[in-house]
Amino acid sequence: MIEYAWLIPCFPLAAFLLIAAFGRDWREGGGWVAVIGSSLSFVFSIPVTVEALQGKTLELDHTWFTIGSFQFNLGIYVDTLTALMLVVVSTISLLIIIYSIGYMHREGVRKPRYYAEISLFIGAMLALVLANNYLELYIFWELVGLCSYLLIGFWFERPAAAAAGMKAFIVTRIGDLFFLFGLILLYTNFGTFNFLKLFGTVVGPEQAGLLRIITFLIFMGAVGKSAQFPLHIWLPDAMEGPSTVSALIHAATMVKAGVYLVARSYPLFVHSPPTMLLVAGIGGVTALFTATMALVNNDIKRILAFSTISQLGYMMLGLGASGYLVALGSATAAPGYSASMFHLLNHAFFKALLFLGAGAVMHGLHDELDIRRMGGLQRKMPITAATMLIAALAISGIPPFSGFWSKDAVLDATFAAGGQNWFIMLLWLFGVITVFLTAFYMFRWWFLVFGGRPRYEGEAHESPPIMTGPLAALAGFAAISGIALFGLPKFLHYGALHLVGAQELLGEVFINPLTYLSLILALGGILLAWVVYQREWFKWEAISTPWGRFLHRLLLNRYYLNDAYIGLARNGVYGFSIIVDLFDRYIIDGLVNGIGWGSRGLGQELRRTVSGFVGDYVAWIVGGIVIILLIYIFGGF
Amino acid sequence: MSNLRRLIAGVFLAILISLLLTPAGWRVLPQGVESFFGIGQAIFNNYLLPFEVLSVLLLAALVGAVFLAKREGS
Amino acid sequence: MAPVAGYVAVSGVLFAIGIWGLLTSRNGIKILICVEILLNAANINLAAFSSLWRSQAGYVFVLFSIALAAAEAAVGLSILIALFRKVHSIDLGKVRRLRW
Repeated sequence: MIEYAWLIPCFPLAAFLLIAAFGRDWREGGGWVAVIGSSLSFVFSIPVTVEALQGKTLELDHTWFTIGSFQFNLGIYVDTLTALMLVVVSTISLLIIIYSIGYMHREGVRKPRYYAEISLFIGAMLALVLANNYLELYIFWELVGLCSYLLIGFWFERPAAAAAGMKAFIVTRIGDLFFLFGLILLYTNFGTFNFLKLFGTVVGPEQAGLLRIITFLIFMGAVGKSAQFPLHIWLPDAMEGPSTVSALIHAATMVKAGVYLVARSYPLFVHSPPTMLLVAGIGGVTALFTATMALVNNDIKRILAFSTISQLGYMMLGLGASGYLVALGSATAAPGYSASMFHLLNHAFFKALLFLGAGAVMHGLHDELDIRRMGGLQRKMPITAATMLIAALAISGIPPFSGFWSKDAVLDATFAAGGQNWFIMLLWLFGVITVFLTAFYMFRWWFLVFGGRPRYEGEAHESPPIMTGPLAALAGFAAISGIALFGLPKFLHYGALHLVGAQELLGEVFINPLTYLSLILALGGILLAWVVYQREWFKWEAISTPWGRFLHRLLLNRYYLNDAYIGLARNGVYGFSIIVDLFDRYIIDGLVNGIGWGSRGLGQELRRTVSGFVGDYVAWIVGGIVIILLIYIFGGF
Repeated sequence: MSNLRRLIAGVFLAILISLLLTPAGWRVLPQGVESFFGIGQAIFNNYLLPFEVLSVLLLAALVGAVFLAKREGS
Repeated sequence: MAPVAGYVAVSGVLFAIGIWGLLTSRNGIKILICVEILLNAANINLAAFSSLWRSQAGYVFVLFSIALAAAEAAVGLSILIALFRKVHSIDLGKVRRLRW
């Protein structure tokens, strides 16, 4: 079955074409066709995944065209990493499309556009994870970026949405530019884009320096796509799109592409310790930094956006920390690799769940966004509230839900690496603090939306089953995906890993004191949130100090980074264009006009020799003779 | 402008005078060359054509001078 | 007789004087006289060298040159008379019709 893996992206892509052509005439604007496309790829990905987990790998390569010595190859490569991503993307895509049928029901003639774009996205994302060479990966990378732009700006008549779409595309484009340079360097030095060929070449010391640059550039692409600092600014704004889009693209799949890229490129990255350190550093810093911004935000979706960036930071941290040890040669296995990918799996489920739940709340309250105007919804929307509770517990890291296992694994791996490097230990500390913050802001979110007394006006109603169904399914996954812990190290690892059995693993986890540390912090966060927001025993306003207010403003304005970027772009680009304009007007035009003026001036002067007085003409002749005489005297023929 | 002309003429004068008043290796004219009979013979034997043309030229000059100096309407 | 250099010097100096006067003056008569000076300077030169090389050609040339000088002077004077009738002045600086 695994040989048919190349079909998997074809179904949604075919759905895209069909819906684009005929969607108008179909019920639900082609939504059911999109569902069919997505289900087919889901169905096909199951046997592929099963076979991959049994250890089978596959590469299919096909040369499309050749220009000179350059061959453009398309192909697929399936291994356990691919299998993991397939599971994530196909399952969540299917559930979200089903949910969309209900959520987008009121959109009318816009529906075909939505379903077509979403199908295109799903197809491109699946193709991205199946790609067997960097060029193909880059092509689909850009394609998912395009779909992201289209879908963020879905309601394009809203200027905020259009602007957010452009911002997303431009910021990720900056990252992609670095990525492209990295690919160019890669090709000119190694002569191929193919993964297996690249990972198999032996790297000498002079190439190691080059690889540092290449991996740095590739990582920048991941930074853009996964919204890590400093290219994180587009993701909160991307919430202007429909909640299903936020769930699919900006929580579960596209933003994970950056993490996938780093994981896939691991064999290259292990030659470069500085890059690994950078990966971990950016990941850890971003995780803490964005968690602080989630603390004060009042937009139901933006809190989740910051949370996504923060969790992605965890994934990068895990990859980078373990990888650093391997790169230095002080370890032969990278447990952080498995831990991060495990966290990717879990996060996809509960984040998608959270966004869909937010969508359900907005749908029920007629597009209300501000959580200060919600409350007490657990009575009116019980299913939603319950699934959201499961998701919140999962993300906060409470056992037995999935988040507990994966977060702990990441922190463990980081701690182990921290023993060798004080910076990584500091990042570990960031990660631990973030556990507390995550629990706190997530439950602040939950309590303000679902707990307490209702603060909204009007009616609220539970969502129809077509929406609550996927919610329940995702909640189920979120709860149980922790089981993957037991199988994962066997299938998803880098290097020679001491394979532990299930019993050992369980025992190990509960003996480690650090586990209890993060558990206590998580529970503490939940408790604090309960105290402040549910019981309201303690109001922030009571301790309003100038310092506190300053901090609050700083966080609310996202550390003014956004404004800094805009100022830079506006003034920097504007200033530069002024210089260019001046150059064009005065120097280039000056040259051209100057020739005209010069000729005219010269002509005016020369006119004066024609005086009409013959004596002058004779003088010219005599003058000429004088000159000849002078030359004769002093030059000598 | 006339100053410039004066200058040019003056320079010319100066150059020529300085050139000419520093002779070096000039030859001496030979003694007593009787030339008058020779001139006549040269004119009417070798240079007859230019002589005739010259006479025509003088005629033309005469006619031209008279014409140019005439009063108008005469 | 004298060295040729003397004759050449005289002729050259005369020539320079003629040029000087030609360029410096605005008076039409003066210019004509200067032209005569020029021609005579050339004649002196020719005669001297003709004697040096014992050739008749130079003397013949001189004769013709004198005749021509006469013709030219006549025509020049008549032009000057015609000009005077128009402009009522022999100051050639006033005649700039050939100007742009």
